[in-house]
Amino acid sequence: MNLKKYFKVGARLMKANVMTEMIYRANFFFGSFTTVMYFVIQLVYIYYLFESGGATEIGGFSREEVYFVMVCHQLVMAIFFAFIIDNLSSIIEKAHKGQLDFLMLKPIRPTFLMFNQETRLFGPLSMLIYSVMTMAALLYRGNIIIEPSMFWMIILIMVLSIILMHSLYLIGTSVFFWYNEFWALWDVIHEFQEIVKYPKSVYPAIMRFVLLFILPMFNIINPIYGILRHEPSWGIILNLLIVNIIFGGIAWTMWIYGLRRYSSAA
Amino acid sequence: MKLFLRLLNLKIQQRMMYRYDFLLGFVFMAISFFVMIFLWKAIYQGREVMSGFSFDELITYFILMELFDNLAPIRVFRILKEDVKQGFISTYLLKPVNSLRYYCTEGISNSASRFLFYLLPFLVIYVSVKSFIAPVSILNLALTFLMSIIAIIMSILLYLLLGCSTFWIVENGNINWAFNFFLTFVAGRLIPIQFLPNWLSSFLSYTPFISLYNLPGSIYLGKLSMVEIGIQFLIQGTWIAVLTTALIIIWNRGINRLELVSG
Repeated sequence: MNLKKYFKVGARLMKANVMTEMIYRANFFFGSFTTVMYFVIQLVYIYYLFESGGATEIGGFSREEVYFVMVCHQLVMAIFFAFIIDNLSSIIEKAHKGQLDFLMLKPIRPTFLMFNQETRLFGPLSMLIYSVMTMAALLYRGNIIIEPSMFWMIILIMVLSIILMHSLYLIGTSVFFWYNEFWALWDVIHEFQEIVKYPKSVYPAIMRFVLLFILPMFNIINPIYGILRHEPSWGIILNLLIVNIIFGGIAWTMWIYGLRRYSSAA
Repeated sequence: MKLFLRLLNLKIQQRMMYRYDFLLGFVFMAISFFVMIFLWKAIYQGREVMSGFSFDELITYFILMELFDNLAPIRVFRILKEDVKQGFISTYLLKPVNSLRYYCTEGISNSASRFLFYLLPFLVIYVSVKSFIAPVSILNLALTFLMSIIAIIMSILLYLLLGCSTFWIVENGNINWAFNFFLTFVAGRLIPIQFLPNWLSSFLSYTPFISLYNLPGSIYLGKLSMVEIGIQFLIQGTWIAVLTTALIIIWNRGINRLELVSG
């Protein structure tokens, strides 16, 4: 099957998902409302984090800089929620019920089909809009100055963060082919999303090491703090690339072997 | 009581089956908790007290929040939703048990089993965190316990009320998601409500949400006077009566419009 046909299948699946989303209007409305609320609560939380103690900075970064990184994190999450998370959780569900057969027997690469089953556009779209608006407000007020070279580095970090998150969640998903019920890894990645938004300098060295190299959560979005501090960008990107290659390799290997282990429930 | 014990036994068996997942999940949760401590430590740098909370009090507050989090029967929403969607609710409607009471008992037994499982790791944290402080008095500890029972009842009522939306809306997963986010903020799970502006914290003190997290934590730490505690018990008791009535009415209406298709 050529690339054009893959695009066609992808577009059809997306269209079907959008139509399904529109059927459940109340759920769609609450989904959009939730994203707004989540976003506002995040902003308010950071506001009171600084305000309640009269702190002017955390780990050497101002409130606006923390806001900026938080907004970048939201943008990454919007894309992640739209295209990735539901597909991976649906793979677990289908594997449990023995329903992956239907996807594996079609005349198209099973992985492509499994990774494009579910698309949730509207909630993440509103998340994207609020994030871009807040970022524009921060930049317009001059609280943060982003030079063009920094801008492209930040975009690159965001892209690499999405890939790394995908790899980590894919590892968490593939584990289900060996263990029936193993949500611990999913839970920890989810829990640590809150941590990566704050400067890593506030945490002790051992914790930084663990979260940089063992469970590389500090490679998600957090390197933007380094860019804001004008640290050498090549070092940051090189480190991110290496971590991405290692964890991408682990995720892909586990996925391939996991799929081979899968046995139908029928 | 018999139904509760039977369900509790079942839940414990289920948890024992996936004990490694639970243990690993707890370890990761503990790591993320310790990481959060460092964030607050950075904020408290050079400050003794913030919004009436010392650093040790705040850490104690968050440890208690982790414990209370396990008491919230969030699963009861999902169970009701799936049972209505897939028609399993008919099993309870046809049996000589009150279906609403069954779901309440399911929620309580789920909370109790989670609590039993988390109690031991909680004690480990209690011992390892030097910042953890004891309750201001035995009376406050007893009142915290009483408020925790109110918290369980309140959260069952709230989640079942939300779950009733399944009778009208087929897909309602986002409602639960929205409510959980809302709750983390207004119930003082994310940040003690004492840190919020006065107008907001005094408004929230009249809502049923703070009984879930903030009230038990605040009573334990002695942040409320005995008169304030008495008023809060009265407010929350009234809310329980109001929400129970609302739940019974909505449940009966939902059951009346329920249509199940089976083969």
